[in-house]
Amino acid sequence: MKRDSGKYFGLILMVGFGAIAIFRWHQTHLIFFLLLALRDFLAGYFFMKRTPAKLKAGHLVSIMSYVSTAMPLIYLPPTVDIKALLLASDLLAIVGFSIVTLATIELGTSLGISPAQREYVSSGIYKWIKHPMYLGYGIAELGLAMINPINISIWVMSSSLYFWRKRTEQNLLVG
Amino acid sequence: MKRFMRVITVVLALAALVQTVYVYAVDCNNAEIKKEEQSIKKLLELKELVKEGSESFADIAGENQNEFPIIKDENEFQAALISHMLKYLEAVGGKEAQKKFLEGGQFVTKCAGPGI
Repeated sequence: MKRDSGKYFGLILMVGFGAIAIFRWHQTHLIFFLLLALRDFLAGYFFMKRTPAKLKAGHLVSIMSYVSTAMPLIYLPPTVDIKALLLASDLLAIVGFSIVTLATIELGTSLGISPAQREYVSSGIYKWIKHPMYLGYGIAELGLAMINPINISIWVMSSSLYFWRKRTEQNLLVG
Repeated sequence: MKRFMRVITVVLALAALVQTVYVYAVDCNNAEIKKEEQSIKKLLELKELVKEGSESFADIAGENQNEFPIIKDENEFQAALISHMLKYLEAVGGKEAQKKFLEGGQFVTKCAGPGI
């Protein structure tokens, strides 16, 4: 087993995102940001505690996974002023991140950004959905695609990367 | 522990959904109030313009009446003003108070006369 240095990067990243979520909650009083903070701090904790992977994907796969993880940051702000669309976008974000949070809880110390073979998880939400993390992100990002036409192309790219990561993960788990 | 975290997540998610819909509803209502406020303000400005210039509504129709269907006379002006005021009252949640006010017979003007 190799030394797992990626967990520290994951820990710092997630705690940073968690702090931003808490700040946003303090600013807006929107419960959604508490949900995000819960997810981020849990992920940070699981990263810190995780066990090294039995089998890891190659460097290219790792890089692509990090690119895919960072992609939601490039979505553009809304250009539409249709309140119903903005509401639908917010609701999709909540549903998506709820799925992501539930998946994070189930993955526990098997959590990782780059595909790797760790403990196989089949409990909780994984009983019903094979890749809830990617599905959750896909749903949340669909909301962003609805409120700016340029975001549609970003969503297509992002979803393709999720699909590719899903396949790579499956191959690793089988191998 | 896992079960507890799952419950917390579901509770937060449901609360966030309810709060988002509530904020949206309040936002929509505030926008409606603002819109009606603006309409009433513009109608009163139009009335002032007619008064000051001693012109009729028909004279300034098309020049300064961009926001409304063209108002040609006092009757149309009153109809438009009442319509926006009623919409405003409804948006601020004053429909019941208005009803009580009208039923109580308190709606009597001190200076009765033509116009508003």
